[in-house]
Amino acid sequence: MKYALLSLLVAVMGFLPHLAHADVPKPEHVKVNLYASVSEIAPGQPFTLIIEQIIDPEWHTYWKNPGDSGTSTTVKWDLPDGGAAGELQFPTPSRIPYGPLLNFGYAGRALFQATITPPAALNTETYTVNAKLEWLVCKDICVPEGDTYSVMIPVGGPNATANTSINDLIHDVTISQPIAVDWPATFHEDNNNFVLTFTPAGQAADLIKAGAKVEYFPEEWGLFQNPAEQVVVGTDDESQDVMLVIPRDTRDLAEVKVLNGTLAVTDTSGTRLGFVIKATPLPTAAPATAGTPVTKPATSSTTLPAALVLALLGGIILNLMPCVFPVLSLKVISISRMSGAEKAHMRVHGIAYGAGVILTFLLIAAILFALQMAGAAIGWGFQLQQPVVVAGLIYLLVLIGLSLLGWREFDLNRLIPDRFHGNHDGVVGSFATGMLATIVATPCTAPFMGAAMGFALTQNPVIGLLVFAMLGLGLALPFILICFIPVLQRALPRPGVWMVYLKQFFAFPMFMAAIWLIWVLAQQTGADGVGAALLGVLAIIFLLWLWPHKPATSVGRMLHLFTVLMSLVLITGLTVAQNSFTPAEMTTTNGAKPFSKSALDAAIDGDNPVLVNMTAAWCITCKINERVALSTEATKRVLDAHQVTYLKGDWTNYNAEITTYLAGFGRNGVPLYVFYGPRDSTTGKRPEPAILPQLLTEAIIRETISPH
Amino acid sequence: MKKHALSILAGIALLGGIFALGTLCCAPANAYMESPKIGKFAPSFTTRDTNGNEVDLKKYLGKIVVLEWTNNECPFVRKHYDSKNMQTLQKEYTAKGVIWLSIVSSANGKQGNVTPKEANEITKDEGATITAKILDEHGVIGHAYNAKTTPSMFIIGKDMKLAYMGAIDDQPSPDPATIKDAKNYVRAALDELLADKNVTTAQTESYGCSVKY
Repeated sequence: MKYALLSLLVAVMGFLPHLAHADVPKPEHVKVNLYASVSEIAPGQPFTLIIEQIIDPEWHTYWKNPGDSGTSTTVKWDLPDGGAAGELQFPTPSRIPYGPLLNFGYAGRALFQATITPPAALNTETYTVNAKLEWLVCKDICVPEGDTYSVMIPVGGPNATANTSINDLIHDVTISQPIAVDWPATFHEDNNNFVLTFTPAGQAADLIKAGAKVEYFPEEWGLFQNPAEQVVVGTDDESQDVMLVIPRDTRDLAEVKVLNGTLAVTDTSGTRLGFVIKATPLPTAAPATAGTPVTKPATSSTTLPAALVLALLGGIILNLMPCVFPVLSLKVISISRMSGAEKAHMRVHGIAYGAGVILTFLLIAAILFALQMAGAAIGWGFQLQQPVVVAGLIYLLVLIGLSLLGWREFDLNRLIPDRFHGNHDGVVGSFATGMLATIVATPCTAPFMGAAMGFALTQNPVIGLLVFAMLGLGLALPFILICFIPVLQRALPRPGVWMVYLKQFFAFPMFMAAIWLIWVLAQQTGADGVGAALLGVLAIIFLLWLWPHKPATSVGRMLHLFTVLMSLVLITGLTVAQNSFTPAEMTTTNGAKPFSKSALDAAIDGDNPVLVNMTAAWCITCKINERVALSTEATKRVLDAHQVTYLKGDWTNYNAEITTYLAGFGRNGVPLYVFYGPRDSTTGKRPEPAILPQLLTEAIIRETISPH
Repeated sequence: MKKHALSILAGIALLGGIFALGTLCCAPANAYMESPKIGKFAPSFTTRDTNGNEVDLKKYLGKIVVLEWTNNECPFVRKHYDSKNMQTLQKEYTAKGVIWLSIVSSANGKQGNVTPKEANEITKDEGATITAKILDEHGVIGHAYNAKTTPSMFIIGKDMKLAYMGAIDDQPSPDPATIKDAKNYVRAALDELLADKNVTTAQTESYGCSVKY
């Protein structure tokens, strides 16, 4: 209040309430005072006009971006004596929560300022500034308020006289107004997070490094969730960069070319220091040099006919995979055991099996497309990025293996209730076998399948489902052919004891596949996950042992049921827990560096050739290529000799950066091998990136990196 | 025979349950509300309107639906109702077959919270031609759409996908004088949807009082 007394000596501070607007009520919850930084103005010399908002307790007004709701304070200037008024400058805002919403604004007192420049020629004795101020003030309800305020300052000259009576106020204004800085700053999107990367300097840098509280206020709406916690990702000693990670909101980031915002850093005494940062979008892997795009546009290079052929071939080859082969072989062998009556319906069996396979593939594809439409960025093999699914598949393979060994057999034909047995005995069983074959096929990806699946998932659902149906047809084809061509049936060996041994033998490829999936699980969830999965397997085996032994007494039956239920709960609990285990560190071979968007950008910005290898633990083709071509001594020599930066992306678990990179090449699965040739010293440009074949040899790698 | 069948079924049910749990579970609770996305399916809901009739969003497949979050005491809502701007929009487009649902997500005891009888009186007094008014006292629908302000407009296309969300117009002021020259996003979007065209401005920053959850 001492401000008011002193200011009366040098400047007339008046409320000149003319009814600017019938609709805006007079202020009830906010008191506004105007101050000039000079007690005498000089024509042509700018001075600062200070607008003080004193806000009732529990009420608040808003910043230039009000946040989730509300509107900001606005001013309309009227300078009857001429001159110009600058923009209203807001003080550093605070975060004001309201239920699930968050606003940016002020409580208590807010000090705004604006630069007023009187005209160079003034022939009045006083200079008048009229400010029509309007604001929204809210507690739990909101009230728009406003009024016009005026200052009349004596004209002096030739130099303006500072208003020393308000030195304390000017000090407060200086602290509460943010200062514009030129820190390098970029923003981008990563894994549904908004990331602001900036390099602070001076006092701010020290404070942030020491763990000071940091709050970012954007001047644009819809970029990130305002109420969410803003996570500061630490700086390492080498780079001074600081990253702020906040969950994204739904506005398209591409709409924003320049992002201004205020960063508030709280110093050790509790004072909030504000810095106005200007951020630009983080440049993508598109080029340091103008012109040549380094990443291919997201159109698939596969055409529909090609994709269909590849899907068919892939499906046929899938029959040879250790997961599928036993199921198929046993089905084929069961033909020999069929009665004459059933053999007459052989074709029906073939069609039923084919229907089971194709329908299951279509079902999986439908689920994939549904998830895609719901917004998830997924690719073929996504199901194996979920540890719970991998655990489930391990259980299934163990169950099948045990059944093949003869202990607790599952006969799919017995699924049918008695009244459906009749002419088409076993046909439903063939259908069910088809479904089973598809389910156990999902962990395996055959060559050719990658391109076909990648194509399928980037197309509209109808075409995509067609490709998947083709894949199903390929998988079912060998059995269908046998069913339709009597010659092949006659070529099958006579039934005998050997069939029992073969059936038992096939348990082992099943167990092998289960062990392989356990190895995949180890990569995804570490030793804990493997322990839980093995415990789950044991629990299932226990359950299988327990199940048939139904006691005679009712007490015994209750105990039996109880134990069965507890086992089921245990199995479920162990499986669901898979999602909470953390994965082990990724190992790299042959000097490969882990892939990340920033690592790729940095590598491409340089001059050396770059090799990108996208792989996953559950991808057999990838593993074969690693063993045969990528991780060999000879390849290592080639990579070293040409100073190739080798980036390896692990897609074993869901990774949005890798999914985006794959999509850029029209792909939706792994493996993907891309080679970026070295930057030409004369043109300064890199050649187009080359995609290597899915089946690699050392020669292919050598030819790509150093062509003759 | 039946024993085996049962055990197989139990096994399959178990695996199915594991798969379902795996994909559905373990999402961390958020401290904020997630927004629906333009071009994706609008969150569906079933509720009762102020007359006790059932309102099921899914039943409106094939029609354009406008969701208008309102609070009759909020100055920004009053701006559009006192000037009859909102009522004009409602009348014009419900006549063209658009479904207009007014939603009050004010919690019990907060500003804008009304009883069904009061809500119907307000609708009558203001001359609002709407399909139904919904009292979302617990904020369930509000949270599903991440409605932050009153007014807040969401337009759902004939294919049940979200076509527009944001402000009613581009003048975030409580002053009714700004309506005359304002660009009305809802009008533009509805005209485009009725002509089976894509909505050019699909997402804007909504303005108004906060929804009183």
